[in-house]
Amino acid sequence: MKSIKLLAAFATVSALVLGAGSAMAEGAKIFVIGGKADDSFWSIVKRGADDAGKLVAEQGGSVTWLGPQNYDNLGPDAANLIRTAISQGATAIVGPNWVPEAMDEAFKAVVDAGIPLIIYNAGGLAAADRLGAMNYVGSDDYQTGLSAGEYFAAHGQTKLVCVNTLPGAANLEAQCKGLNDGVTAKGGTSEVLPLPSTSFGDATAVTQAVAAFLQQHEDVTGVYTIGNMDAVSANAAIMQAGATDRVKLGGMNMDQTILDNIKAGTQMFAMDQEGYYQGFLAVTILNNYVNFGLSMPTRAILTGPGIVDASTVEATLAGVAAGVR
Amino acid sequence: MKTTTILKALLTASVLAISAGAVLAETTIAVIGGKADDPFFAKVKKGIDDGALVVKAHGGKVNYLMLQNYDNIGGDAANLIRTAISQGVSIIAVPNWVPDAEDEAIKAAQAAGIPVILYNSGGGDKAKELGAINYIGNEEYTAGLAAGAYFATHGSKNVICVNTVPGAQNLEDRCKGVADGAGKNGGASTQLPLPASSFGDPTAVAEAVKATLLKDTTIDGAIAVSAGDANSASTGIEQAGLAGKVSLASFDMDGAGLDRIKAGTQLFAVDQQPWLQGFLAVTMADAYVNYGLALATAPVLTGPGIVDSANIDATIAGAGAGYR
Repeated sequence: MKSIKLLAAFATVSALVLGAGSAMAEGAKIFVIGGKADDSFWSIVKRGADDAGKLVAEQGGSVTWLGPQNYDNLGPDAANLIRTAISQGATAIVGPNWVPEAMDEAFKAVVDAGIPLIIYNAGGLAAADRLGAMNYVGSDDYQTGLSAGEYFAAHGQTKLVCVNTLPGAANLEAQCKGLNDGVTAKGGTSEVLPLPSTSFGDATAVTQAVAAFLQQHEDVTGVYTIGNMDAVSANAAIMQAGATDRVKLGGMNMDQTILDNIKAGTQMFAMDQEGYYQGFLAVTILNNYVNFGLSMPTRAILTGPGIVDASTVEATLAGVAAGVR
Repeated sequence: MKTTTILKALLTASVLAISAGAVLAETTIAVIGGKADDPFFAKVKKGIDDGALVVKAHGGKVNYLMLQNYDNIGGDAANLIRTAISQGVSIIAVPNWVPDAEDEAIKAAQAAGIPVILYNSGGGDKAKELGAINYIGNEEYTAGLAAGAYFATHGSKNVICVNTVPGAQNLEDRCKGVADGAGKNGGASTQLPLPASSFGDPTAVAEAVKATLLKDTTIDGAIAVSAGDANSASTGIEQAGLAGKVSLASFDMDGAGLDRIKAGTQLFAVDQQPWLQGFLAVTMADAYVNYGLALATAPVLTGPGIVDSANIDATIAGAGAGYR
């Protein structure tokens, strides 16, 4: 009789604790799966997660960053990090769908455990819907290309080339297709310059190929590149081809060299996926959902493309110095 | 020689201070909003204050410019925008309540080099038209669509939209959204327009709902355009003896509505989530003005957020903490 009474008392106590846990007393335990902490892009995403974490901490919760040691075995390693987050008692999880074949099962385990999930950075809304996640926060390759095509056209460049140094990669093909749709909608045209895989990562080879193309196509007035190294190579190519007056350069991603070039006027614009917002918004949305049931009806939330050009390069450089861009 | 050196050192220091200040130290975000004792804007303000945590960490501050009353919203809001301009703020977040009265002031801010972000009222198209960075808030038609779809997928196929101010564009948009959202999901919805004489008269609204439900027994859902009207509609459903047969929903919510959802006598409420409007307006203004960050997604819709039995406990916790 006595032991039953005690048991009943215990049950009441633990029910109270659980009830409090669902509200604010304990706050949310948010686990963020991301890249390596010393990766220049992921440190920006982490900065956003940390800034959002200020409010999480004020409400008694925590944000935990889980990143792989290296990128040698990315999919399975990331899947393990997701499982770690579940086992450590996460009340919300956000992660990129880098390698669906290796990661989908772990993401489904999150949803099956009743833990709110957001997909960010990679995967798109399609992955979020497939996995039963609340939302997708990140950029979209097609939209990035589309915005770039529209930007070129609005600034007078209507004959474009999309330099693709990794033909066959779906995300890059989507960018070049977006570029084409964006410029043709404004009465222009574009074509793809696919480079052989042997030239990937070879700045000299990319420069020579782009310079040759520009010399053979004197009507082309805009060059778009799909990575920051390629933008620097294309910049050199435009000079080698003696086409600096005729040809404007724009491309995906940015680094210090590219921002310097935008400031100097030798690159017109860069497309940024705004990693800071990926970390900041994913954590913010999950925290409010766990604590107060607030949702984000806008799906997907596209953090990019953000266009960096002469008009925004100063604020962008300030952002780089502050570690948020 | 010595004085010159000191002077030089002082000059260098002040130059450094100025260049740092231009970027971060003096960032002031002006947010124009409703009265502090308005229950809705109290939640917006809570979001603004929470967002200010991030602004502060980046070295800036938030300046909340508040309407003193609602007698002349458009003109007063325009004056607050002009006040913000004269204060030399870095960026302005403002609801576009009365475009005719406010648009000129918004354009004056932009002409003075102060970027503007719209929140709470105005919509994505208006933000685009004015060249504002983004719109953060609700869109009435979209909110209605979600409500209509929710009814149709939860068993209510013939829904009335109880409109206590027929002709008001935002309420017409809500009811049209309900009809389209229900229609797309195999249901239907018609508007029940009430005469102006019943506005603010809970008994008259309850009577009208009751009479309508008794006349047409195929009606299995009712949505009210405000939290107060939902309370009246709830009475109407009970008085008609149709509790459990006619599902109730509302745009916006109050304590009584949340209690009904918890008790199972109201199916759901459509919330525009004011806390998110304040929080995102401030943090997005901060990210834009300090670092040039702007979201590609426009508008950023904070509503409709559906409150139903699945998230009622967290919502009640949020209401207790001033978030909902």
